[in-house]
Amino acid sequence: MNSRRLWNRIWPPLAAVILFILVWQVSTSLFNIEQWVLPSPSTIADQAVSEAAGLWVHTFATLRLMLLGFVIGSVVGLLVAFLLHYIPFLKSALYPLIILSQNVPTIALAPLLMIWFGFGLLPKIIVITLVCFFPVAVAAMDGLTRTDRVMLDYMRMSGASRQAIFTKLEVPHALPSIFSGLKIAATYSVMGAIIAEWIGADKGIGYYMMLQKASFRTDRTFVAIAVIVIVSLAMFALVALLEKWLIRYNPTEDKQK
Amino acid sequence: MNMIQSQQPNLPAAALELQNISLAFADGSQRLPVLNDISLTVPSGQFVSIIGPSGSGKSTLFHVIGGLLRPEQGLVRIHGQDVTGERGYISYVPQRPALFPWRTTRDNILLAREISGGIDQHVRAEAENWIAKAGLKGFEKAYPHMLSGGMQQRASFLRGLIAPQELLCLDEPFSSLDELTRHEMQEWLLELWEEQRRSVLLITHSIEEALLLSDTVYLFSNRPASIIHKVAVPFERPRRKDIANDPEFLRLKREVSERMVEQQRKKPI
Repeated sequence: MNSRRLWNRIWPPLAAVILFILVWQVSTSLFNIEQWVLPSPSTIADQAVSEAAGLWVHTFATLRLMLLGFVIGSVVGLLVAFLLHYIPFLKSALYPLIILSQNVPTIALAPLLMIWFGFGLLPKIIVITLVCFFPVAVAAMDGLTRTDRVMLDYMRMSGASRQAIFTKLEVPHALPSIFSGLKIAATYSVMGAIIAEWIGADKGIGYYMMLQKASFRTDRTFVAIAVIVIVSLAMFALVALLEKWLIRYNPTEDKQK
Repeated sequence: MNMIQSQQPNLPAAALELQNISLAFADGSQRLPVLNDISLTVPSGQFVSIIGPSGSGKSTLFHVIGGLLRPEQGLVRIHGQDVTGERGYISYVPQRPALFPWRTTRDNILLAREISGGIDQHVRAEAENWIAKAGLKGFEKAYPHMLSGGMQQRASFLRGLIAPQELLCLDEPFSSLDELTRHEMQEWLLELWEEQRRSVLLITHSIEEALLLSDTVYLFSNRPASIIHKVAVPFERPRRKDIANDPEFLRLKREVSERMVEQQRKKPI
């Protein structure tokens, strides 16, 4: 019953992807498109298999960097949200600055960070943290401010301490919101890691991409893109799974009037 | 915590005593008076109700009793102790169940003790006992959205009943329920209360509900709310199920109803 429902949700996008790849495959041979302009899916798959051993090392490096950055970025985002939620003055002072920080393009900031902090792990982590903390912080703050009034009144009249209100009501109430921020941050973290590796790294998928681009290996660039897509999806799925495990109730229910 | 104890420690203190409570909200430069010199008493072990037109500031009064709002004038005494503006002295049952959706029924009920009092084996046993009495057996591990409206409200009641604070404040607890469930819940509460005899203050807009359940009923005026009448309900306990058909009950109901209609007419538009 349940697996059938799952299948009903999965097959339409799956069919679309398969159809897309088929059209791509057929058109590359039909229109005689040069391999260095647009390689066919089968060529890309061949390359992926032959490059597998080296690719794995690069993928592993990116995964490590990305997970580390994602965790640090999310924790920073949550801490910022909690702090600003509790000190309204700080919120009104810093909130515009936080939004402003998002207008600075990461790709422009990354080289500066390399100049300041060298080519080690630190500047890369900073890049990922910068892209990850924002969606988490905004979603968490939003969730915290929308705490149910009646529940809050109940807690306060019952004499609950501020800490009890925070841990027993505000945070659980904000969890669905926090998770929508975390899902965005999860996909951003992959992008952050790739950009960080473009700027300065000796391994990782971003580094691999730069290498292949330099030698016009379009097919291998596509392999890298495929890896990024898979990693992004896996990251998203991981967070979604965590959400499912943590939020076992029906969160739409508390939106009732 | 206020260190000044009751002035007359030899007298049995009322569960709740409101002395000349007045409160106004600031609306821009205007003062919007909400509560006007409210004095009322809930004697220990009695059931007292407040009936008032909607928007008369009844819920504001609860916020004052619960310590969320500090009155401009007046005192709130609970069991003889001045607790004006202090929180944690009442057990509160809100208008809608407001169960935490991420907690099971059992954990929602135990929340009251998590906040104050603490949980031990006795409390757990007490909770199980209540759950069985409220007909929620088998739903202990269910989340609120799996319960019907009446069951949710009953769980919310149990959360209030299990709280260590003696005074129970009910804020229109049946208003979100359908007619049938409301009747059922009123009977359930009546039976339960007559067994327990906790001190209760109920806010309601149903005259019948107030007369059915209470020992004393206070009538509130329009905003700013003041007390226009106090009714001592004469029916003996335990109350008969068919009391609502008693001629005396109907007479009282009509009397209260006329006073309320009079208030509604005076309402400024």
